Formats: sequence, structure tokens, C-alpha cells
Amino acid sequence: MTTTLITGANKGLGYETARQLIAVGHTVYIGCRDPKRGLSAADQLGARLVHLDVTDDESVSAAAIFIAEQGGLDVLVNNAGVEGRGEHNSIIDAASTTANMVREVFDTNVFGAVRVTHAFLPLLQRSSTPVVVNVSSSLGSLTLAGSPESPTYHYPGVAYPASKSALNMITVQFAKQFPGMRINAVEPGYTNTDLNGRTGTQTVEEGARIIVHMARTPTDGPTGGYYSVHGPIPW
Amino acid sequence: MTRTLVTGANRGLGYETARQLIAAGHTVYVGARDPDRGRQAAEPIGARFVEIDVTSDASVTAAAIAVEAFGGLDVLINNAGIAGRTPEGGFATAAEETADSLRTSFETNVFGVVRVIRAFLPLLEKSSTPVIVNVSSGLSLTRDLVRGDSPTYLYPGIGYPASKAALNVITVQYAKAFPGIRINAVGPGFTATDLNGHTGT
Repeated sequence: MTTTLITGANKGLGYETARQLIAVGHTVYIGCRDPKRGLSAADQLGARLVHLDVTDDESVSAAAIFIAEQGGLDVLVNNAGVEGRGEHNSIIDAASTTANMVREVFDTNVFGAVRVTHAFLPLLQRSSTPVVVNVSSSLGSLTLAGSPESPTYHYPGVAYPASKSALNMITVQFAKQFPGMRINAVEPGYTNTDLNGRTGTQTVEEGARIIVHMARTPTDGPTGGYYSVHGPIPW
Repeated sequence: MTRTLVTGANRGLGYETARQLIAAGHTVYVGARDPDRGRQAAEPIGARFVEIDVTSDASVTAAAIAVEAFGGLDVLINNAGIAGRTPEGGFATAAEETADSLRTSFETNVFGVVRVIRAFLPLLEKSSTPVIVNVSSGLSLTRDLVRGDSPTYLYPGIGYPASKAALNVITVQYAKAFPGIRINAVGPGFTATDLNGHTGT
């Protein structure tokens, strides 16, 4: 039996990933900041709930202790993320971006992912099939950001792409250091969720596919990679 | 005459960049946190000292006002950076790196650059030849750090490469947003400076 933790899983891609992994037999913990929303999501999914705020050391430590006591962890999905949009769901452009806005996005997308990974490493190292999936974005690709033929070229924001670029590098550095684990970054695609104010063009079912696929990577599967459902993405 | 600000310029690559640009005819502002060290670095090479701590909103705003009072800016060199090494000069590996230790690198290398660009943009937009240089690193390229035959493959740290990877994307996003400004990231190579405990080659 595979035990899986998904951060930010009371809605959006995290929730749908939980649903799909439960359907294939995983025991899933959904990590949520808000206990009330988390409880109702867990009830609907048949998942276990763990209180988890990825920006808070104590919360993350407590979640790791709780899951360790319950029997451990095989798969960690670092899904919790924010885009940092402005008024009326506008993307904050370069001219309007402040250092504090960038820090706020990095607090969840980068430092949060590292905080959670760090706390759960001891549990993952006790698993015989340890897997980490970092939910990134094609907006984190430096190559695509500089390629006028890529749709991501025209994204005007600064904080979100920079945070996902940092997350990609973190994925690679962890993957090299822990060759016994499958550690990959994934690009779900532009999905209709609250993160982008429901402007995404694909469904959560479609978006969760690559997350679910990499969460189920076998022990001889890829590691240190960056994938969409269509295959590898240039860094 | 070209007016240039170099952040973190009281030593290392920033200092040498200031020296070479003065030799090439630039008017250079040596940006440094510490007024004593900054003045000591600036005076012998004929630069002006500007106090600037890139991690502080108030300090960066004051620096922009000071540079405007001196006459404006054409070239901004975001050089101030930290490697995030341990006190012994070693690396925090993936297993050792915490969210807090990571944030320290990003405060200077990423958020600091955004803060400085934002504060100096109004001055650069008044220049007829505006330029921004973000001092990045070969360690920023994820495509190389995954390649076994790259010298950077073996670098074990997290914070420095991740912060410079973010800086590269920031560079590209600003360059697209401000086509009238030349905005680039540069990799100086592995240089013997305090940043790496003078292990650079």
C-alpha cells in the first residue's frame, strides 16, 4: 500500500490529484491550512486530513510527526502554490512587481516546498518506494520564457515564473543528492483553478494527469526531470 | 558621460567592475552597505560612494534619491550577491538546507535585485542609453546542472543555484517588459573572491 501526502489539496489540482490517487489505491493525506475546508474535502474524497501550512515551521513539523506516527510516507506531492495576482485577477507585470510581492510568492512556492521536503525526508528515506513530485509550471522554463514561439513567452508576471524556475533547480539538486528517490518537477498545463482566477483552459482532470503519473513513478522510473503530460520540457 | 551604479562594489567582482568602468570613462557609484568600507573602496579609484543595503526598502529608496541628486543613472549593475555557504565555507546540501537558510540567499540575490530595479527604473527611463546587468552564475543553468559532463553538475548546494535560476527568469521578464533598456544576466565564471572563500580559479 502506498501512502501519499498532497499539500494544498482541499481544492484545485491538489484535490483532483488526491481523488485520482485514491481511485488507484493510494492512502492519501490531504494537507490543508483551513481545518474546516480540509475536513469537508477529506470527507468527500475518502482521504485523511492533516493540518499543514507550508509557510510555517511548526505546522510542517507537527504534520511530519503525525504522519510518522500513523505509519509513514511513500509519496510527497508538493502542490501548494500561489501565483500572486493583483486586483481583478490581473497578472502583476514587471513594472508593478515589488520585492515584497516576490517574497510572498516564494514563501509558498519555493521555501514552502523545501520546508515540507526537509521535514518529510526522514519518512521518505524509510520507504522502499520514495517519490517526490514538485508541481512546477512551464512558466518556470528559462528556455521557453525566451522563446517567442512559446505561449509562455507572453506571460508578463515576474514572481511566479521565477519561483517555479527556482523550484526546478531545487528539484534537480535534491534528485542528485537522493538517487534512491524519484524526484521530479511537473507542468500540469494551464488549468481552470482558483490559482489563476479560473482562466485556465483545461480541466482539473486533465491537469492532474501528469502529477498522478509522476506520483506513481516506479523505482526504475525517471528522476531529476521536468515533465508535462506530453513529455520532457526544456529547462 | 555614462553614469553607473554597481551594488556590492566595495570588494570582489563589484570593485573590479567599478575600477574597469572608471578606466573606460564611466562615472561610477560604488554601492555598499558599510559606509567606511564603501568610502575606502570608492576614493582610491575615483568613484562616488552610495550607501545601499539591497535587502532594505528604505536604504534602496534613499540610494535612488542620492543617485538622482548626483545627476541620474544610465547603467545599473546588480552585483551584490551571497553564496549562502556555511560559516566554515562549506555547502548546505539538499538534506541540510532549511527554508530559512534558503530565504537568506534569496533576500539578497533575488528580492534585492527586484527592489533595486524597481527603485532605479524611473532614473533609467530618463537615460538615453539605459542598461541593466544582473550578475548571475553558470550555476544558474538547470540544463547544465542535470548534465553529468558539466563542471557545475557536482555543485551540491541548493540556495545559490536556485536563486540565480530565479534571477535569470527575472532578467528575461524585465527585458521583455522594457525593450528600450538593455537588460542581461551574466556569468562571470568561478572567480577568486570572498563569496567562495577565494576558492575561485
